[in-house]
Amino acid sequence: MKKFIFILFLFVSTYANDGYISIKKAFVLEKPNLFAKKVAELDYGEKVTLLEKKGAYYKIKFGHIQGWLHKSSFTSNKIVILGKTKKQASASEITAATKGFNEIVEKNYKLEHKELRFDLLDIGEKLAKIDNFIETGIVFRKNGKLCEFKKVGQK
Amino acid sequence: MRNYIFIMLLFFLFTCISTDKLKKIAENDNLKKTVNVVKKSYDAVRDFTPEEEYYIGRSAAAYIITKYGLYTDKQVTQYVNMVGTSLVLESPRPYLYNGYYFLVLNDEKNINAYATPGGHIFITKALLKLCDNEDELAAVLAHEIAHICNKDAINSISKTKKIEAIKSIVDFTMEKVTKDKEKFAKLTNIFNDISGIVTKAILNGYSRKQEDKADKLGIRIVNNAGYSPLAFVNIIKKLPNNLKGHYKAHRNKKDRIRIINSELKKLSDVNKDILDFRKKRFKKNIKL
Repeated sequence: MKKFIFILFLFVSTYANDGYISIKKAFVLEKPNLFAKKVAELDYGEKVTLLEKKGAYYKIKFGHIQGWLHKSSFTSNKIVILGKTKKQASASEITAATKGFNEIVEKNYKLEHKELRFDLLDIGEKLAKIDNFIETGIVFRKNGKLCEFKKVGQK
Repeated sequence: MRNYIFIMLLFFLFTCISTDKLKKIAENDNLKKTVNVVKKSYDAVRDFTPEEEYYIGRSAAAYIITKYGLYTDKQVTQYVNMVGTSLVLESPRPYLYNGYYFLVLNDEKNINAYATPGGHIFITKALLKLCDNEDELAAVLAHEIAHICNKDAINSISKTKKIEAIKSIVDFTMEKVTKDKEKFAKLTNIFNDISGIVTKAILNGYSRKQEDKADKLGIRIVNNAGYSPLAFVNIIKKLPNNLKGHYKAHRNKKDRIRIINSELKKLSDVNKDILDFRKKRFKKNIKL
């Protein structure tokens, strides 16, 4: 019986390490640090293996890629995207993947709420995207002594 | 002992193994049926996915923009986004499904700010005008980022309503969009309901407890990013007493400042001074 429990534990532990990317584009980083070098980009719903946890960062493996993700871009809840994983996923997986509030539901919702200015929202979402985000961001933070450039108790 | 093992087995299966794995394990029809039942129960208690939160947030954002209008000045919007992004990087949730959007509402009367679960953070022109420098703007944005980190808008949905929504999602597949219009209409109605609940919570404000938590987390985000959390007190002092909407849900200024000051004492290193460079940068970019 003890052997059975031990095998069960090993079995469960093995399967407990899978997770999914929970954001549209996730950066896999070389080190567990937000400003570390980016080694890869993974898409929403990609299945990854969790190798290690360190503070707010998870070390993951995806194919031959290994690196660190912030925990806010990882979920242990299953996510499957129709289209992207269509070839690999079973019919039932595809069925599960296509459920939920998404672009198609929003489209139908818009038809019923023609008064809502989704067009302005789309303009806003585009306006909010910073030109040359990475380079501009670094200069902005450096000049303002923020984030990775801050000094404790700075003047 | 057997009962104990059985419960342990069920617990592990339910919490640790993805339903995807369960399906692969299932070899015979009976087991498959059981797995499907477990999967349906699991789906019925699951949270909204990040994608669902984004679309719920978008519907609330569309309502807010329709009501107050969008200020479309590129320089101002990009600057507010630079400040916001610097804060987000030091928050517990630097990554959202589709990122954060910091937008200015074309409302010169109401002093207010809002955040949706989709990552849209709004500040009215009136509140932006009240800010004298970048650190005060950072304080306003950090409070809203904290609401997103704490999932306050999503948590305003009652358990019953959430279960109803998830059940509707589970019962429906997009593949049947053209075939099953009745169910699709039901799903859209549920989306409509959820959107209404979330929008109402965002516009009317949250509980005192949630607002206090957002202040406390906001201070930490501001300080971690290198801004001065003392700007939090400065901007609160400037708020009028007769606020409407979301900001009305906060405590009175005196109590709010008292809570903030006691939180500041818990921080080991507080950035006390507001950098001159940031003051000048604010003046240069914010011309309303």
